[in-house]
Amino acid sequence: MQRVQKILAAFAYAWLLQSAPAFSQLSSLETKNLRLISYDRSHAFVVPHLARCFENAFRFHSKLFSYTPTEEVTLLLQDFGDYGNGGATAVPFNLISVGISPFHYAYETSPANERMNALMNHELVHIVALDRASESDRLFQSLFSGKIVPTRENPLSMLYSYLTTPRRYSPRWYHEGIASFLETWMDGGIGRALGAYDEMVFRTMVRDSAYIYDYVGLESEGTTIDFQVKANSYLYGTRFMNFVAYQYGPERLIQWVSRTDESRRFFASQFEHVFGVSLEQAWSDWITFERRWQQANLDSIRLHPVSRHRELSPQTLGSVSRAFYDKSQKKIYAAINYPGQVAHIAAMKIDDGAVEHICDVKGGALYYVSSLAYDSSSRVLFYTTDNNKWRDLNMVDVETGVSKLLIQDARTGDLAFNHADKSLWGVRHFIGFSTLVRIPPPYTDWNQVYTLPYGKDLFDIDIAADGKTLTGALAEVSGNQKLIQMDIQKLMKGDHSSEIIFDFDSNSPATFVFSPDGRFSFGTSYYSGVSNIFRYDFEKKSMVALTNCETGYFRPIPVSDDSLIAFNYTGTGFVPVMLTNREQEHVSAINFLGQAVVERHPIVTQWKLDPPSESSINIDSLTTYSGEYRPIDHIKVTSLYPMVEGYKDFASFGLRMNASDPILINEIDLSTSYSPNALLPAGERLHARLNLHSWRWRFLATYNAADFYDLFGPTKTSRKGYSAGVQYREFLVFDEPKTMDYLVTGSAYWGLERLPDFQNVSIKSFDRFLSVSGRLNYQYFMRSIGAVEEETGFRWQMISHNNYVNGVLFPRLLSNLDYGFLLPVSHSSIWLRGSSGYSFGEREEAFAKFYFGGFGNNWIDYLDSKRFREYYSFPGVELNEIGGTNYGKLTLEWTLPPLRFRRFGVQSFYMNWMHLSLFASGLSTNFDNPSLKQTAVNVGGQLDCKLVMFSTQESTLSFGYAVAWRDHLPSSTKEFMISLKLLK
Amino acid sequence: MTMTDPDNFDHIFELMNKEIDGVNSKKESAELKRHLQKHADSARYFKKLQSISKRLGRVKAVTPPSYLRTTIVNSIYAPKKFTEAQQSVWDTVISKFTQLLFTNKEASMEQTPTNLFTGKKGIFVLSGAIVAVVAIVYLAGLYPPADTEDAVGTIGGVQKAKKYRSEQIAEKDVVLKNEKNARVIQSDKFQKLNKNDRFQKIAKDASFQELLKDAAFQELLKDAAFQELLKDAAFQELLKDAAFQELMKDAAFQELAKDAAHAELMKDAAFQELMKDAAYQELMKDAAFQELMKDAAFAELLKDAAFQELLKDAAFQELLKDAAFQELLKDAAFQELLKDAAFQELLKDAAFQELMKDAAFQELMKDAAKEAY
Repeated sequence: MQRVQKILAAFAYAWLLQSAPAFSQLSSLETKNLRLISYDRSHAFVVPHLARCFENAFRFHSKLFSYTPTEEVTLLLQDFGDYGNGGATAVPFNLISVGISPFHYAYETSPANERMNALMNHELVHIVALDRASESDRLFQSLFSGKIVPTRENPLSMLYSYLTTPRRYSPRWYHEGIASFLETWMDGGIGRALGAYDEMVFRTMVRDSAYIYDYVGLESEGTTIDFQVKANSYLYGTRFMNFVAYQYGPERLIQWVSRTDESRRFFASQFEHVFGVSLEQAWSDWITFERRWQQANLDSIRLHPVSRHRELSPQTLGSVSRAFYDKSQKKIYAAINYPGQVAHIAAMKIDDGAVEHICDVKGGALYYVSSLAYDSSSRVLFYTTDNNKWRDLNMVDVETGVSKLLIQDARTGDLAFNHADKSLWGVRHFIGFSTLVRIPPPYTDWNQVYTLPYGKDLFDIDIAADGKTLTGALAEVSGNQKLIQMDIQKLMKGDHSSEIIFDFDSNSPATFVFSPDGRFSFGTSYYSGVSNIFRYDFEKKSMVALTNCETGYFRPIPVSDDSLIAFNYTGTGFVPVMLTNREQEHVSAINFLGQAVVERHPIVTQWKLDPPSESSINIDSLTTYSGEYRPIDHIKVTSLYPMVEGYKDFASFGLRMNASDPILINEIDLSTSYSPNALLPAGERLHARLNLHSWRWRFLATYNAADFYDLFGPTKTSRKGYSAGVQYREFLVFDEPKTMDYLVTGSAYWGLERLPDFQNVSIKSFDRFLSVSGRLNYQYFMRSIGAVEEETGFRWQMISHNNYVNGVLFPRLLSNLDYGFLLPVSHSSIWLRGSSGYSFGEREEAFAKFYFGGFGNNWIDYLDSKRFREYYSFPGVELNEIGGTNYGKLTLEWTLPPLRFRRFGVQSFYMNWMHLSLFASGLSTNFDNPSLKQTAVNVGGQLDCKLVMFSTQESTLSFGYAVAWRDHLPSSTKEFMISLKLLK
Repeated sequence: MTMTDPDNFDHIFELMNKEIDGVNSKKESAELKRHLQKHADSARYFKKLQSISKRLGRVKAVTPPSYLRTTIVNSIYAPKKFTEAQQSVWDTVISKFTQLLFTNKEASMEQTPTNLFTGKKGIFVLSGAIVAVVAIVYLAGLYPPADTEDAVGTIGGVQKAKKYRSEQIAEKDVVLKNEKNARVIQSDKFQKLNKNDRFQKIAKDASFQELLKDAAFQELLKDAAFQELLKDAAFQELLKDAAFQELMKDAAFQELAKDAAHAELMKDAAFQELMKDAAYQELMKDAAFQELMKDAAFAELLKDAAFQELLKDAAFQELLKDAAFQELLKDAAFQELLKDAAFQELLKDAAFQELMKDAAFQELMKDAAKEAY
């Protein structure tokens, strides 16, 4: 759900930032089961085909799962990234987001066949697994008017959410596992269930006697610290599904995943119900099986001599890009990404393995990090940033480390440098097509060379040293892949004919590169099921194997006639190695677990989907509407449920209603409650809150505002009186993680007895005022793999608060500046946080002051757990105790590496990590008046513990302690804080 | 095991196994019993067999995992064998070769190796040997010719992994809508244009949208010469010129532009040179000349073939430059004289033409002019 929400948020901003007139209107195509929304007319060419793919897959799933959806599925077609992707949720709506771009085929982790078909086969499994409801689910959905999204404002919504969609509370490996498993058979054998990469990962674990996570540890540690991060959900999930299918049969697997009337709510309970063994036991059985299975595969490989290599580095490099060898410097250049440090380009000396940092890579990709090309004559590397969005093209001098942006949003990768004419070549992805482009010096503009037909893709290109030939891997609609070559002169004249060098069938010809003399091409393939290095002889027109590897070799770089460098896969990442350039006579194949499933249970072959051809699916006859889509016309109630809140020291009971459109552009939340306690004056017993959100605008109104967390003091946000406000937010720069935005808020208050922002400050001379505030925010934060929060970066804020009270204006201005950097210790950073402010009002006026004090956390809370970082916080003193009309504050913070737990709890409740931050601050107010000036210092720390309930509900338990000294007090004051932040 | 009667070993062993299996006849059981009573070794051995059989009977049947079978098979590296077809060819070659060698009855039994390779027979033998060698090499490596499907993607000694694969989606199954349009916008030129502020502005213009629909304009856009013209910097400047823009709007000019003769003139190389001439450009700007160009009589004169010839005449060109002649042309009386038919006849007269050249007559004319003024 979070991923889909992020995609939708990005959609909203990207759509609004588009300036060309073509991108100004949403359109939809609707059938009985589908609402396909597109925001760009240039995507229209693929809409009918995508709709057919949807209907085709939908029919299959309806039959297999006996599935009747609760509502139509909304499908948002987008072009937010240069590589295709998909995401799905069923709460509160059935919603799928589909990226139009081609997939990335690194290590064969994505299928190479037609992607819309593959995506629909996969994503609809998520919808079915989440949306298929039992009788009791339907009852609760009816009672609560929909499928409830848990919100932190009303934590009881977590319980209701579980009642309406219990299968949402399953771990990611479960959902991705079943989707990848089914997708493989629906696609006729193309997918992770028959994936060589997955076999390699587990084979390597067994070989190295590495720890294979249990199903709790996987979520707790395995999906966060590994260099493959969230890919582990796919790996483990698909693997476990494969094992269960092999052991118990695919039909029972479907029975496990189906939410029928007879099924158990919790996915683990349902497992035991279907298979008669606990999930924990079955997982353990799988690990035992996996060790035997992979040992047999290793034995098979070892039938013939295993290649020997020399490791060039004592450390693993995590994920690596295409690499280049500089013979004169004896260095390898590559982009690398491993836990603890942000993605960066590095130079590694092959003599001693020393790694030098050259420059950071903003937006490194999971598997390939960045696309690289090297001009050896100028010693300049070309590389891409924003690899998960629209790629920028950059260059960096490897000597000086000075980098330069060449083309923003070039959307080009698979770079190759032509030494003959110094041009750079690449493959550009734009609205779903792959285009071979040429970028001549000074590399500020690109030229189209050849656009491939939709469904075909060219990747891993390379150019011979003489500049005459280009090779690359060509993927067909069917998923077949070939190594091809093209004549560059002919290409420049518009002749894009190609010659097939080698047909790899369904195996990917990966990263084939020319030898320096152009006589050979070296690359890798999972031909035998293991990624080995192959060498093609252009003269003899023959392909031979050079290695027999136990794990896998990738990205070869020919060094000399008798040697080559490659990257060897290990459980913690890739290691550069030196190998002999010699033919391997015999290589045995391994066995795929997925193949064993097919042989033992041929029923999976019946799950092969017929192609979504026009003859079998007439989308025109199925279409019920095609035209403009206005989100506001599709707003409907998504939930209505009872809630409890706190008002001052009293409980209040009521209802909350949520409404929105399917793509969450417009949202309405309305809460009303009543405090029955007679101690409250009659005029304060009724409470209401209205929150409207539409695109950039937000409107908020309250009456005697109540809050759930006021039930758990000491911080109280409930207030007597009325308020109405409007807010507008706009992005000036949206180049994540670099953003600049401004936020303007205007509010009116009346009937007050305390200040809205400072609970300990009462007001007597007035009860109403207007407030207008503005905030300009610029931030650029980065984090490494395995981080629990941002680890390095910069943020600057300028904030203006202006209150208009009794005819007097009280303007206040403040500025915050945060700067952090990573220490050489992984995941440990130093932060400097400065803040200063000035108020133009009279010192006696409450509105004219800034107030400081306390950690600020409530015992049960929903705001940021690390509130001690806010400018108004000062742990060690009481809330709002220190005031002033001007101030300066400086905080030094040291965040220690998080302590992660492999297994600390059970499936339904466990602790992920603990994270300690130590800080010291200094604060001074009223500089301009020595008699009123206050100075305080503190030291303290906060320990945060991440808890997970029911697989997806994250909470943070925080403990804080601080000691403060103030200039006019003889002794220090202390504060101890404990707080549980619900929902993240 | 030691058996007293090695010749009976197989028989007794069989009886033992059949006894354990319970399939011996009474006679066979009795025979076995007698043998065991006489031979302690056999009795011990039989007891062992019984014990093993009992133990095996207690073991439960297990279905081995499929990878076990494959692993065992993989462990057995078998040399390449001939296929049936290859074997058949090989047999034929051997047969023929043998026949070749041994058709002579004498040679078939008593031929020595050295004799085989001498004389006529030697030639046959050698030829046969060569054929055999070729056949062996061919069969070992080349025959039967590999089916194209099998040959594509095979890599020497590398065993291909077995993976289930069924029929896949094909290009014909992917039917798109107006794919051509989507591919057009992939070009760098289109993308640059689309980002251009001015283009964005004009794209909204209704007249421009109409123009784009015009078939003639679409044809013009395809014209290579027009494409070249659009690149020309001078033409780009001209397009900005307000006067040119006015000219484009002028109905008369639009008519002229349609005129075929005008089109021909525009193509004429000499006229193109003239257009570049600075003096001509000055003349075109001259207000008096512009007036003259509007004059219908002058337009007629320009069409006159004789006048066209006159304009080419070098002497006439010199005359036109002459200041005195220019003055004369302005003179009203001279203009009248030029209209006079008699004077026109006189001008054609050869004698008069000679007289005009005469120096003395020229002096006389000057004196007469002086006296007149």
